[in-house]
Amino acid sequence: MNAALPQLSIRDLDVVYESRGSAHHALKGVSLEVRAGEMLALVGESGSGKSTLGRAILGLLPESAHIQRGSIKVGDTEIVGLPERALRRIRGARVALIPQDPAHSLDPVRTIGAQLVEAVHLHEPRSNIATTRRMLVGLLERVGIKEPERRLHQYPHELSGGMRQRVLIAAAIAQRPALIVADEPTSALDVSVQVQIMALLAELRHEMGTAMLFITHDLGLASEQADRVAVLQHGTLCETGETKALFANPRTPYTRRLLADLPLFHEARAPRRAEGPREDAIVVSHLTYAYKGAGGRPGHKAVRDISFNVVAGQTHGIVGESGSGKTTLLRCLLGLITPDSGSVHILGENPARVEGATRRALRRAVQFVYQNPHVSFDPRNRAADILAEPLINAGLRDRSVRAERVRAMLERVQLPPAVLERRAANMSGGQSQRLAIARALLCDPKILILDEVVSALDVSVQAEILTLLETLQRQLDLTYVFVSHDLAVVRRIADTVSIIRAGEQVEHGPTETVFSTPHDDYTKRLLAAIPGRDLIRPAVLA
Amino acid sequence: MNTALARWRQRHDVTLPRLLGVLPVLMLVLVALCPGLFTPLDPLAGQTDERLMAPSATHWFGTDQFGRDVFSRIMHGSFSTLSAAMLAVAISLLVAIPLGLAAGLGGRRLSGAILAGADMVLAIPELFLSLSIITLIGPGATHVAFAVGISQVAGFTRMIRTEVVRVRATEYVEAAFGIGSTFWQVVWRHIVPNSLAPALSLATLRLGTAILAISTICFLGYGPSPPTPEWGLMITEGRNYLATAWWLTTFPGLAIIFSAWAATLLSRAIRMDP
Amino acid sequence: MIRYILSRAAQALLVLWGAFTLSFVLLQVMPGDAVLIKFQDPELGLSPQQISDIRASYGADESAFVQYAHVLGRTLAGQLGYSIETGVPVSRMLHAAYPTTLRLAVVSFGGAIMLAAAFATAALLAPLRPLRAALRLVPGLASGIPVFWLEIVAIQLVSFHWKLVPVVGVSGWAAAVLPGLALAIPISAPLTQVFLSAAERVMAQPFIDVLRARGASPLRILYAHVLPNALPPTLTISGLVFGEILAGAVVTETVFGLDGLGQLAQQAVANQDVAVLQAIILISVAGFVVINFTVDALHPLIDPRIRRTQAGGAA
Repeated sequence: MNAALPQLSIRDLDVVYESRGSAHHALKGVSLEVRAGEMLALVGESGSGKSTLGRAILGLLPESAHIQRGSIKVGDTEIVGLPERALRRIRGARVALIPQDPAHSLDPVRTIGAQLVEAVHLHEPRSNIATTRRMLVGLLERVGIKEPERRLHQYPHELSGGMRQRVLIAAAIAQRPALIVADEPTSALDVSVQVQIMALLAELRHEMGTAMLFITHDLGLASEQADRVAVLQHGTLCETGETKALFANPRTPYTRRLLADLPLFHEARAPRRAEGPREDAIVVSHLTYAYKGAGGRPGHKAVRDISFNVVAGQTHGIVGESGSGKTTLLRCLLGLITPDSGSVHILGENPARVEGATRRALRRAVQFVYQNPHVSFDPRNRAADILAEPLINAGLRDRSVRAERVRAMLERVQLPPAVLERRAANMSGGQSQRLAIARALLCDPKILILDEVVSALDVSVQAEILTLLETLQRQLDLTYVFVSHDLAVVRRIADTVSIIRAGEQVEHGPTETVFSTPHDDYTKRLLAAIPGRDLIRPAVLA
Repeated sequence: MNTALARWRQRHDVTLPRLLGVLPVLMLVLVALCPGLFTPLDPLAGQTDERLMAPSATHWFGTDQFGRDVFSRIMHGSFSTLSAAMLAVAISLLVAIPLGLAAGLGGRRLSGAILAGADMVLAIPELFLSLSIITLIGPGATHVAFAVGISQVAGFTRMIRTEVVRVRATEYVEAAFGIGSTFWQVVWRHIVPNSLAPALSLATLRLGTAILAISTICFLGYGPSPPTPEWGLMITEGRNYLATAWWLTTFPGLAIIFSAWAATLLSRAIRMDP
Repeated sequence: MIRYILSRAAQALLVLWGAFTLSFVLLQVMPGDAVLIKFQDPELGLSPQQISDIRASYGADESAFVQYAHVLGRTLAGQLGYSIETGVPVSRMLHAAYPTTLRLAVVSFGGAIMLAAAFATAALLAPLRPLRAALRLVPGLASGIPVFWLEIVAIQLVSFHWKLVPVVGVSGWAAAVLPGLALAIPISAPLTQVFLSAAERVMAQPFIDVLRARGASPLRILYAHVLPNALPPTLTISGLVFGEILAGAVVTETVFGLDGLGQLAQQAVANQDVAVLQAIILISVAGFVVINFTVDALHPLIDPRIRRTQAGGAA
């Protein structure tokens, strides 16, 4: 492979979004190069402009955006200013895209075969269908799909997420492009699948000598996969360098902050101050629940024989991939569904059995915080209405008393009083998650169930929210059930942990024990799959 | 005062396009309530020496076969069309809101029964349904409004039910239950406002449909009888002079289109996009 | 799959029965024998004996329930009864009238499909966003135009002014051209609106971007990918469109003086000829139900996802 040959070179790129007369610079003076066979990771938080850059390379900027200045060269072809027809000959043939969301990136009503054939025919209109299909069978095999002949006749919904992403990769490499733009290719996939997909991308890159621009928000993943890393902040490239050097010795304050906020797996949580033995806030024993199949027949079991307990004032982590039965488990904890067998006791009560006033009291004592706070707020309500609701429910009729409690709560969750007039839609992700926590706390709960509450947040905001949660737990003596797929975050916050797979609890116990000496194969695989597992915080930040 | 106004404007998202969208309907209402402000001429009394005159400076829209001023008749006719359309939409909302809420909030049986009923009614084209009702209760301006209103009930009920079901499934409704709100508190605070707001915007859109349906039935001759100035009826009467006096049919039609479009604009203006 | 089709068929029959009952209640029960009042008109010179014979023949002396059973029974046997106005069997009147309406329906439906296709393509692929937004408004505005007015203007301009198509003294397909095309405009409006909003939802999905990134042209994306995805929601309104065409025929045949089902319906309302009106309503409901059933049965063929869930549900 010719390492010296840049397959992508961007010079002084400025991209501007214009809407209603106001202009927003999404990218300012960005310059970078990706050489053949090399992977450059473009990392940045949301709104940094990393996706805009990917779209600009493909010539697919939205109409409201335009390139004000600069050049994008793929091989020796200048993309900027190229007419649409010429761009279409380059897209797919010389630059290919691996998209973010495999679930929605294939046409749902066409077969896999039809879509792959189309991908080839767009650039080789004369090729024979039979030959193309033979070539595609080989290609699908190459990307690790078993029974490729059969897959060609299947529809996207018949494939798993990982398989769909493999199909999309096959479509991307069908024309042997010189450059692949991979836009968060694994962020919608489970970690164990992520590892496989990233390994496949690495193999293909070395085999075909393709240059790869890997757009990601995940510093850990970038540190493992990329040859070089470019850090984008508010549209400006703040640091570029060899991966090892950059992670060992970040030069700019922004990169340093990113690395400081990144939850690292090998950093165990600080041991808690010793306390006397305390009662269990939650006891789950032999919990089993099956969704009812069609016509009242028993369907598949969503959770089987799960047992754990959570000591009051502590945090229990629940780790599981999609489809593991996490949601069913939480619904049992909240008393929304009644277990088929086994039992749940919360603060000594069985949520599925209690009635009337006890039920309402229990409901308020166990509060739920959602992954995506925006959709958990009535879009018509302002923050003031949102925070007033639990107080009104508690029978607090005096406005001034309510206002005082709301004010105190805002202070607690570190939100400025000005947010009261705003709707959640106009808040940042971090602000609205604080608001959701505030609403939950106004019910005076004993237990918070936190469902992937930091997964959608940027690392810096994630760190703030985790710190806030820890502070609140100390101050208010709260018990947490913390659901997450991010093992590094779980290790930081949880005292005990349950690892759940396909409805079964494969392992549980104190977090440190489980993570340092895992017994189950699945736990071991999960731990091995953590992106950036071996990353060590650079000495400068220590 | 100024800041209070500004805050009100911000809270209700009052923008210039929205205000402009309300304008045509306001104009229509003004014309309907005080047509005399816009035309001094009598819509009923004709001048025998001014029959079938083409549009001119004195008679902007010309005169009809009895020498009556077409512009004045259109202005005075707006009341009948507009009030009938509003009455129709009001009747259909009055029946459909409780039905739709019941279908959305009630149990499987109630909801199934209401939906099955709505499906049966929806299988009959609205015009046939209105005409059947008119066969039953007889022609006339109010009867037409009633017939059109009843014909729209099934469609409205379905629409409201769809909205209620959508809102019921949202995470914010689940969250409201989670913080200890009772069923009726959630219905009143979250489900009703969030499902009726889009439904009401669609209701204004239906105002335009009602205007069309009413003028169609009046055109077919089941509305008010001559010499009442009614747009659909004016077009029927004008058909006898199709080849010679184009203004007799063209202008009342334009008035109908203007009103229908005004309703469309209004519905866009009041649409709440949270 | 078979279970799915059977349940749909049962639902279709239920709707048909419900609509029949509703039209019976509206037209035949409520006024009692008010429709027969006209026979008491002294000008007809009918003796009380004759009147009571007529009443008996219409079953007007029976209770509402017996009347309902009678009408339902003869309708199921394919007997649509006799016109109250003329005494002619309703089926004979329908037989004479339907070809005119069928021709009108074919022209207007074909025209509406072509208009909707052309317009949707333009509205989705026009070069500038403001232009697309403006085009997007047109179907909504078009549905605000009263069809009778449109047809009158069409006669004035196309036949009288430009003298392109005659409207007097024509018959057969020639007579269906101008009214059919005029009716096509309001018929195409809801088709276009439903298709456009479905198409916009499809175009907002990530797979469209992926196709563009593979070098597919906008026209190819529209016809090979957006169209098959946006077609099912559009097809769900075909039953409604059929009803709209039939309702449109009432107005159109009145304006153009055509002797079709629409004219028949209009006269039936004018003369309170309930047997005829009910027969026409039944035809339109039957058409609606059959079309909807066909669309439901075809849906799994277009959308493979439905195929699976139904196979799962029936297994």
